[in-house]
Amino acid sequence: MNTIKSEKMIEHEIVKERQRWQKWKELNEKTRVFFGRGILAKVSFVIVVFFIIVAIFCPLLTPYTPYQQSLKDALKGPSANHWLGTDNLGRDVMTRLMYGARISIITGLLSCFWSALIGMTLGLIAGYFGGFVGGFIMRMSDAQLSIPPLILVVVLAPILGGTILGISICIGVSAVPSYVRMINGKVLSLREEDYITAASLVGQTEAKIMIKHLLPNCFATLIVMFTMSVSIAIMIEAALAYIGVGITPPTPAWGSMIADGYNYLISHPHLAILPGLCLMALVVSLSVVGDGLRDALDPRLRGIL
Amino acid sequence: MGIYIVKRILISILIVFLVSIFAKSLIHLLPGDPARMAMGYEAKEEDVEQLRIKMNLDKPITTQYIIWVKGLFRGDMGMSVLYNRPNRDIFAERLPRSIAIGLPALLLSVPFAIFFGIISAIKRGTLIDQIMTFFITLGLGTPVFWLGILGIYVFAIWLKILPIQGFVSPFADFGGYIHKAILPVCCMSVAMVAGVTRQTRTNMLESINQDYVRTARAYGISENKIQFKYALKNALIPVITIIGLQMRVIIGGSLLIERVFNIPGIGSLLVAAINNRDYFVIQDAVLFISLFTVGVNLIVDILYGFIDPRIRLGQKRMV
Repeated sequence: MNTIKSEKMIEHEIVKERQRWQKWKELNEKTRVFFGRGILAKVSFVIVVFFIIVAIFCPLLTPYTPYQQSLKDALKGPSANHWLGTDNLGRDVMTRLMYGARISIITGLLSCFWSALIGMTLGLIAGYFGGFVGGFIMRMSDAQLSIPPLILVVVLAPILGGTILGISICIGVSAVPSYVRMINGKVLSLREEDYITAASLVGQTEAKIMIKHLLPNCFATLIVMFTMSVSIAIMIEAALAYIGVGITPPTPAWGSMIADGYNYLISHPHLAILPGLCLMALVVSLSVVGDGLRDALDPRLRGIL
Repeated sequence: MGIYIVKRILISILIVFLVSIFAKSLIHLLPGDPARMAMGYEAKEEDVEQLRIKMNLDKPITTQYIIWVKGLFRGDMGMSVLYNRPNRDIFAERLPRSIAIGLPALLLSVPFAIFFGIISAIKRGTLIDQIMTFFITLGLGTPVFWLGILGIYVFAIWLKILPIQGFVSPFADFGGYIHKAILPVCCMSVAMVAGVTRQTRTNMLESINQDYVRTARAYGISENKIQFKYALKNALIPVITIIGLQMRVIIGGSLLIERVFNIPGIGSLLVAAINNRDYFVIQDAVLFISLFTVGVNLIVDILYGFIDPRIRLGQKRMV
């Protein structure tokens, strides 16, 4: 009796150990795929991490605040006190760039959160129920797709005002249709799986099937879409701020820094060019990281996203 | 085929209808009173009230919507508060300028992009492919307005070979048009070349892996003939769709490029209208842009149905 039990326990241990090993190996494989895309992926990863660190710790990294003006120091070149010089109101350019990273990253993440939340819910409903409700949701997203996202955001932005929350909701809403389509397609294929039929046969409610069975299977797609759209959201945020309908100045958004710097292009070109360089570095690296994540998590999405 | 076309047309009409409802409701969603905006803040309340009645703002939103749509069918697009001119005249004046920047950008970028895409797919995994993939990522990640500013700095301020800003109609002065439009057109092309190259590469890779390519190989047909005769032909079909999708990039880009280069087109009109709450221009512009993209997509869908029987038979849904 005793020996049988211990044998079972050993077997159990072995199975558990094997599962752990399997998981570790999978993770290892994913990391390998992620970083195996050459030097570009590694550099991009470092750049993204760098911007995130700067965004989190910017108050510790600089003695100034992004709003601190000093008109007698206006439009100065690089010096020991101001490493990248000052802008037309005597604000430290480097400080504003650092806080700009914070604004960009927060807005980007927040807007993707909104679009993921709304898009996932609508996509699940459209895919699972189909019929009239599904058709209605899909036609609505078709209608939204007929307006280019930037135009839609520009039109919606004044409604919610120039705060980070308002702008992120506008950008988030503009990206909803692509999430709806993606999740809808995924759910349509998942619906035919046997375990969904089984779940509904044993009498599970529709809400439970959607949340417990369909949702987890959409997660990989969702994570990939999320990473890929953060860079687009950051770009749209900057474009909005550049046009003058984005996050209201004096909040240090890179887009409005470019627009302000444009007025001093002849005498102080770095005021417009530096924020754009930061923006480009962040957006490009984020999209390379997104590509890597896609290849690691859901390679079938290659070519679609 | 007939049923397919009718279906596409009906869906397009439905989409435009939904967008028109959205465009009209903007007047209530956006903060601020159009009549008050038009008269200024010093105006007397009675005068503002009178203008409000003249603008039909006192009527319920459904009545306003019907009046607006009726006007549109008669060719009357309403009056701009900001410019105090009929919207139709403003659009007719500004649209050619936007086309004069957008169309050359499209025509210039598509051939290059297809060429790059094919090279990149055929040479998959080699150094050339990696370099191209890098430039695609770079091109898609570069903010178009910043690229414009950089271009102005390099070519106008530093090298002094191009003018800083402005626009001349190609019919008035073709040399001057080229001189002034070359920079905005090139800036707009960058993102488009990158996008279309990536799509062509994906399509080409997909068709290289198809069964008929394997069969052709098994028959002993030369690799060059397979790639250019069989794979390329099928890879080029979706390019029509891609060109349709690029319309969105052009319209979005015109918003930014026209601001950088100070070109008085549709994009800058919309920005001015938003900043000044010129509601009647906003609703017309939104509907107009949507009508344009829906129209382009409809043409693309129908063309596609003619070229690729799988589409009209419903075997393959295009994104």
